[in-house]
Amino acid sequence: MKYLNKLMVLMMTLLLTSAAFGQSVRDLRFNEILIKNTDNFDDEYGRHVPWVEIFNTAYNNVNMAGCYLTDDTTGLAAAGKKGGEVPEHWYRIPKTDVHTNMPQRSYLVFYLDAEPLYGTFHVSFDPRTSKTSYIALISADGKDLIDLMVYPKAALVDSVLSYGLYKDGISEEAGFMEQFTPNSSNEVKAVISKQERLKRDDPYGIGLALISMSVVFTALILIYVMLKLFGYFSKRMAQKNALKSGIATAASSANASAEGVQDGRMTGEEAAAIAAALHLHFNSMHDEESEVITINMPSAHYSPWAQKGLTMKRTPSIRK
Amino acid sequence: MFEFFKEGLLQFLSYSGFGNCTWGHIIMICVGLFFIALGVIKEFEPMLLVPIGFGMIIGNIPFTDGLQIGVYENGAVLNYLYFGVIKGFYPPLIFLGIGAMTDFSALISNPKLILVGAAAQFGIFAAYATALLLGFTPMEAGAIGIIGGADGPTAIFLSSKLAPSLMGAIAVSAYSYMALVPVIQPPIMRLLTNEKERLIRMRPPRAVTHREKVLFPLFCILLTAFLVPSGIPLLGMLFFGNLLKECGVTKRLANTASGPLIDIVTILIGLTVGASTQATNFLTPKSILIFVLGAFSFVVATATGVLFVKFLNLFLKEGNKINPLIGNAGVSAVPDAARVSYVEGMKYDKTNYLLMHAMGPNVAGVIGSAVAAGILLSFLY
Repeated sequence: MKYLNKLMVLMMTLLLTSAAFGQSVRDLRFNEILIKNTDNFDDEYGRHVPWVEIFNTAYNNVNMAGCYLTDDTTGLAAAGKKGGEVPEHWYRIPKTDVHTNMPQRSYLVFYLDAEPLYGTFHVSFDPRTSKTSYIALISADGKDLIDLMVYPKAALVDSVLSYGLYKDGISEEAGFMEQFTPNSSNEVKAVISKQERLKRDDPYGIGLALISMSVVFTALILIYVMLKLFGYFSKRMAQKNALKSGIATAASSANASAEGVQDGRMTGEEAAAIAAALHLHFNSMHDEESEVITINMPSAHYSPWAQKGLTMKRTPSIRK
Repeated sequence: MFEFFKEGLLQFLSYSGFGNCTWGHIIMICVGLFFIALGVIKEFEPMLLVPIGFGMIIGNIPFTDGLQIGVYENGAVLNYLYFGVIKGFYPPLIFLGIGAMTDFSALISNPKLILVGAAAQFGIFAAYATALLLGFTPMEAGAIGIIGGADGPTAIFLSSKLAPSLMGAIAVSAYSYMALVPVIQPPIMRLLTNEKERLIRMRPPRAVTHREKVLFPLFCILLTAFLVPSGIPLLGMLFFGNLLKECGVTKRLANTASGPLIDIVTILIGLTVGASTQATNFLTPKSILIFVLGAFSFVVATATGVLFVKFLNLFLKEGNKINPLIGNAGVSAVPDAARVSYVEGMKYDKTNYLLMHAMGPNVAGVIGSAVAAGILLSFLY
């Protein structure tokens, strides 16, 4: 029992840990950044300012309110310590804006214009005047670095191109983008829908049919193997139990004839004979009951639900 | 005064069903009545055909748009009920009930029968390939192909994801052919088997222990869901329902799942799927093609099931052979397909009871079609 409790505690811990690291702000990734914005995406005031795009890689909503955006992670270690304070130069994403709750697989653009008073999506730093060449997203408690994008600042300041991930949310492949894609997927060129790919690669459906049938057979063969093992172990356990109860000797002496009984098989004739015997037995037990005539009250099976008195509203009693 | 009365009457008539009636509506109402007649008189799948037939009548009574009446109108009561079909949450609930009322003992005791359930899924992919040839998109072809799985909830689940516009035709086609299993399958079974094969007597199934029955859904969900995660909504509910039934300590839950719950969902799914067959959306050349392809997939599925048993028999010893008349049961359609095997078997040998044996491939067909739906979903969605 103690082992069972330990196992349950372990499983609960694993479950909670996985939930904590599951689909949360940890799924957010910097996806694209543009610093030299001359005639590109403009903000709600019509200004062309640097911007950065964040992508929610999760398949559920993620609310990034309370998290920090910064171009200087100094103080991260200190903030992580007990009683440590969050540095003032970090931009805290307000908690009052519903737009910070990102739907699954969606994009959100922040303007890097050092004008936080302009609104939720205007941060307190500007990469053009920044000393560093990265942008970081930090968790709401200021302890964890969620994502950090290092960009070639020197090249970006002079280039009209944006820098980003070639595949949404995949940090390993990054570089200059051929096309600006704020608030949309970076995979502009290579996007071919599953349907288009299937139409192109498998126009007659033979490939899909073969793969699918293989998978169906694999799944059911796995179940087949499992059931075979079930049968094997069931037989073994039956033998073991029989040995324990002392039937084993009788069973072994019966050899082939008893083999059928051991593995639970019996002939149709035997089954029919047993069924007929049971049928006769139960029918004969019942024959007299229906003919009893009585003046006694029939005793209904007691159930509090059937008590009318309990379901009726009681007459209020007057206290004297 | 007379003019006012006349104008009012004409206006009322223009709002009534008579004023908006078309031949399409009349045809679909007749189809609905035919379905009800099939269910009531012939007793072909009455639990499904009666609600679907009545739904067809409701869905095809003409009305003026904008009054929030029709199943496709936002805010209409029928539209709210139809939500479970569109979002695909009725089918898993039905699978929960199916799991809670299915006894997998036949399968557990004779595991090789599960392979028959796999072979019969070939109808799905044959119909998929044919639909592609006829110009359907891969997603539409996948949704049409699943009719061959002979599993109404699976067909609705998959078509709601892959081709919502064809869902009405696919669902009606799937349920119609499921109801017509006793008509479609026997000629194919007779065509592909000889007298000697039809007389094969199968070994009686061994007794299955309680422990095996409890472990079966647990192991099955782990094996199948890890292989095809997209099948989790259907497979998960199927095996969960079965666990409720077999574990022995959740009798009340199992009773609810296999009784009131599945009844309620069957009523809602049948009625709303029937109502979704509005003539304007339903009576199209595509729908006719879907019906033809559905029949084709049923025929192929039945044939491959029977032929696979014959193939399997080549490797089995005398005494262990399988009667090919149970091959048709691999197409799911529980328990009608198994009943067809039994009835056909009785025609050739009055003492050869195939029902219990046919239930093996029959329930394997349910698992197989859910796995196939999961695969199609992962490839096409």
